[in-house]
Amino acid sequence: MHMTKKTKNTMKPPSQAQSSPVRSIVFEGVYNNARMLHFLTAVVGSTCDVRVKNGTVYEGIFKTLSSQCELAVDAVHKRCDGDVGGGGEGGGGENQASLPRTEDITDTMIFSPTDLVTMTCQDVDLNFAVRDTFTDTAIGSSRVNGEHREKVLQRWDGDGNGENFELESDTSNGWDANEMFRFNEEAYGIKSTYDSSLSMYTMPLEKGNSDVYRQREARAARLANEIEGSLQYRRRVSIENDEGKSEEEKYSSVAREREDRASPGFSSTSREGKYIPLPQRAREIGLSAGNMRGGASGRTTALTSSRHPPPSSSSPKPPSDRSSPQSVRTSYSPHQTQCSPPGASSPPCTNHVLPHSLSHPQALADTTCSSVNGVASRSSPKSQRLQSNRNLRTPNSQSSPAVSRAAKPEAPPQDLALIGPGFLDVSSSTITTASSCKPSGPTPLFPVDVNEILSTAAKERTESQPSSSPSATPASADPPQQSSAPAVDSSSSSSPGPPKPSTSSADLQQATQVAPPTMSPAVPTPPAPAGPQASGPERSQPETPQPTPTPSSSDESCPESSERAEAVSVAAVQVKNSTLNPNAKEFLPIKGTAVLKPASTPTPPRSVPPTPTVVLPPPGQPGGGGLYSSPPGHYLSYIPPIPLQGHSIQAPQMYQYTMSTVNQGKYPRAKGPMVAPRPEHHTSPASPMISAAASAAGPPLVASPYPQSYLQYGQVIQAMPPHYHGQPVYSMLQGGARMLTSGAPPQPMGPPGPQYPSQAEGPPGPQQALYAPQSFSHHSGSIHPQPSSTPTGNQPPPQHTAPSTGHTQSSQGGPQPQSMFHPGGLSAPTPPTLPPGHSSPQASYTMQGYSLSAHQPLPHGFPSISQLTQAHVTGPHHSGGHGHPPVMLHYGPPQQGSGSNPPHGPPPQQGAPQHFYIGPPQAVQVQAHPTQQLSFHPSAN
Amino acid sequence: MAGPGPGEYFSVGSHVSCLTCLGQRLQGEVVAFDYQSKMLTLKCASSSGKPNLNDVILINLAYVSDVDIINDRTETPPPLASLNVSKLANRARTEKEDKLSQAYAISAGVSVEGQQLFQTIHKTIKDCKWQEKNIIVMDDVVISPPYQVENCKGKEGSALSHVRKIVEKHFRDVESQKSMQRSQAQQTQKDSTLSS
Repeated sequence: MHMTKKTKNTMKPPSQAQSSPVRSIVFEGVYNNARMLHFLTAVVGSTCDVRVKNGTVYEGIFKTLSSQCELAVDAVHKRCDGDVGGGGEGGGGENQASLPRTEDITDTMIFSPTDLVTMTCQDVDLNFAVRDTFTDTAIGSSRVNGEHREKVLQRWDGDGNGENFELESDTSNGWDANEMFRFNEEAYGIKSTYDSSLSMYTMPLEKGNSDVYRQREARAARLANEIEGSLQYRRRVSIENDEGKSEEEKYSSVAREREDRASPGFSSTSREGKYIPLPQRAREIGLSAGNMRGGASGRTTALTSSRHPPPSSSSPKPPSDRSSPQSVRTSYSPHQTQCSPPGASSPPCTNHVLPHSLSHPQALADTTCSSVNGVASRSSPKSQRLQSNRNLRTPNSQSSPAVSRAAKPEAPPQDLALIGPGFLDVSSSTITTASSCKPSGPTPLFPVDVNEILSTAAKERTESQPSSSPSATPASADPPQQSSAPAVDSSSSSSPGPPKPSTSSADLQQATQVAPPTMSPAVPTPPAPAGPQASGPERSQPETPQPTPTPSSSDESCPESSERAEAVSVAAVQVKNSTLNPNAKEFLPIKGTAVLKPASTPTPPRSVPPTPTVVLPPPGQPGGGGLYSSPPGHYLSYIPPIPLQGHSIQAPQMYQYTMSTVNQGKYPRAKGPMVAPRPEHHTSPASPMISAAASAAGPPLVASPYPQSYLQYGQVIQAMPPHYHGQPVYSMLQGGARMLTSGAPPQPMGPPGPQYPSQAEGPPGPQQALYAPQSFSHHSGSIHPQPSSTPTGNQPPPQHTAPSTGHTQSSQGGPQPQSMFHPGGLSAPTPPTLPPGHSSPQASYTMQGYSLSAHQPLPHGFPSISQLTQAHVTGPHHSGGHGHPPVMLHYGPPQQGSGSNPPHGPPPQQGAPQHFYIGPPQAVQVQAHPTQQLSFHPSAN
Repeated sequence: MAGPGPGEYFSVGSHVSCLTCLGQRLQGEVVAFDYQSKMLTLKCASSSGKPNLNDVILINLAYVSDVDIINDRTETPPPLASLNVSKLANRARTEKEDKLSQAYAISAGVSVEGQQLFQTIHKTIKDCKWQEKNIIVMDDVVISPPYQVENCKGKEGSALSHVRKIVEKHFRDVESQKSMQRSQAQQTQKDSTLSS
């Protein structure tokens, strides 16, 4: 079992890496350790001796490693125990004895870290892949035409001219005409007939003193003034002359939307396209929040009826939670950047809307409208915030079916119109960002995205739901506990490697968490302080009177309740998203790529302390309770939202990331990552239900518009279906599969559009349906299985647990949830990233990389890490087409049961290895007893 | 997820010595340590004594006892350079192909000399392969056992003469190498006796 699971894990990471373009990958385990990754990658392709527990030594060519530090070694043969010599290939006659015969060589073996004692790579040139191509060193050492002498570099001596020559001081525009004439005359004896009056071409102006002449002169002057004074003229001239543009505007590759500038007046800041450091933004937000809070309390009641109030309330909330929101924002920023296009903004809207739409057709229409509006009017950042609030509201309205619905249609348009610009930002910032990014197109895209998101969300739900679930189950103390745990997990998950992918979910969780704190402290309604979050909680609260209680209990998780909670969580997630959005607005200015980088940079430090996750849990509990206050009963109603949640979930992941960072700040080394997974597990059960609902509404939508998003989603979906059939738990597994598939598929499938649509449509729906039943029966059980979905499957807990031992808070799900999260996070993240743009995924990666770097002080860590992952991933790429089947296998085994691992395990593993690792599918996993297992299972693949 | 960082068990750059459960004593400079997976990566001087190369050892601390920190280094480790992943992937692929090719030859009963010759030729001419016990270079020249210069056959021309030169040089090098190895082996023996 372990083996299989491990293989799965390994596979997942690679897949992620494979999707390098997308870069939605979440870093897990060892992948979070940039240094480890660097050095283990630097020895890729070198001969290694792997010594396992029983003393056996295997020699092969190191190929890659998984996030769980499972080592994939190619062309492995077992060395005689006594043979200590170097690689057989060394060539010396001495090695004869160790030279393997064809039948002795196993194509690929995967060594579990539990079996590995040492791996020794002899005579490795650590600079093999580091050498630069155009540095002095590289140039100096390069061998030209077999010349081995080191090239002597010659110093460039400018004779001091370089220093004395001032580019700016010479105002002459090249040669003066007179100089040329003189030169020509002196050198060639040519005399120019040039007359500066140009009398040969035009009539000299004769100035008269007549009144008529004066009048004409005056009129000409007046006309000239009019013309030159006109706005149009100025604009045109400025365009022609590039005036009014700062150097940055002219040459920066970061495009900032003008609209943002238009809304300088906004309370938060007068950004006017200038980059505002995150800290400053945070301050601003805080201020705005402080102002807004007053109105927050009344939101719940007023939300549906009057949307304006909600926005205000929402704005306040962010401030309260500031730290987390900020972090979230940072995470968002990447998304935003992705979404930078106007269209992007609309997507977010759609996401929000989608949930509604699911529940009510009308809502959909509204959403589309709103999205349109949003697109049309992006100008004011403020509006964005409002939008976010609105979004939140919409969720609320959903919770309250009839009334809210009616209100929704009306409100959305208005709000949307107003918020238009803001929406974009918000959406981007929120989970939607991922989905929205894809939708970059107009409104139509959004609906699709939403569906997709939903489908993905369903998968992700598990992750996101966990956090939300607790809140949902407020009625029962246990559920609340779960919710809290999930939140923690999310945060924790974010902190770990997975953070990147999971960031979106994490964000959601964070949002929820944030909300909780605000909520919990005061009354259930307290959420008001945190605008976005509050909105979510409010919804639930109205329906479910006792939000506060739940939060308190939230720490512990109950499977069943968790499921319900998941549904609720979905709603909560949406809300969270909305909250995120408010924050996101601030980021909008940054839309440019610059934003991503800033965010990434900040995140790294944060990410570094995974442990923070622990911190998160506490917040999550309170917040979760508040958010989830809405009882299970609402569940059905929530279902529609779920899809949205899915979207939101993705965003949440992003959030988680930020959250994690925040947490980290508080808790440098909490075992946070562990926690995150749990939430996922919990959610997973619920997610099926939701997914079913979503599938009904979602598939059609998804099919049409967003190819990119589809690709990702589609991949995920494909992976999912098989798993689903098996059990609820599978969903979790699927999540893992998704990761894998998602990563690989995107690249291979250059033309994702077609493939994805079909996949997304078909699989999502069925999967969801399947899941729903399963999830119900196996709430508790499912949770465990979910973990299995992650690499280790049932065993996942161990993996997670080991790292997150501290997570004990959520004792049950602790590890498992984490695993869930990871998958979900991964899957979810990828989709979002994909949509935004090709670059966006990378951005997400960069983020991860940063986080890594943060861990490891090294600045360069990122690149190397990403590369490393890619390298590892490379193997998986091959799977492109095959990816899905293998995934199935992998997942399948875990599902079947841990007990039967041996039989089932091998096949799946083999499949997995192939995908994950290099082309050669044959992979023999050496678990406990490498030698025994060594049997060459060239997996069929 | 603890990455290497302040407060870790092993700080990058420190030199440690540890004893594995298999009784193997390992010593080297810590280049990476992963707390969660309990994996420690050491960089050691090349076991073959080559100056520009290193041995890299990944150690599972779960199976290690007796870890001694010989000296600690508090300096921040140097930044990691980015790696050319495609280059690494290519290396992995070619290495694997070579090994499989070699295994094929061994399975076919090719002598060590033949294998070594093949490796040498392969370094210069990628287009060479085994056909049973014969080395086929560029589909043009066939080198059959015992792989001496006179065993190179093919169309007279530059290809054949070129291959002959390679083969000739190879055996010359092998001779000098063998003498080198002998002296080295003697040295290592002395060292081992001294150390023990």
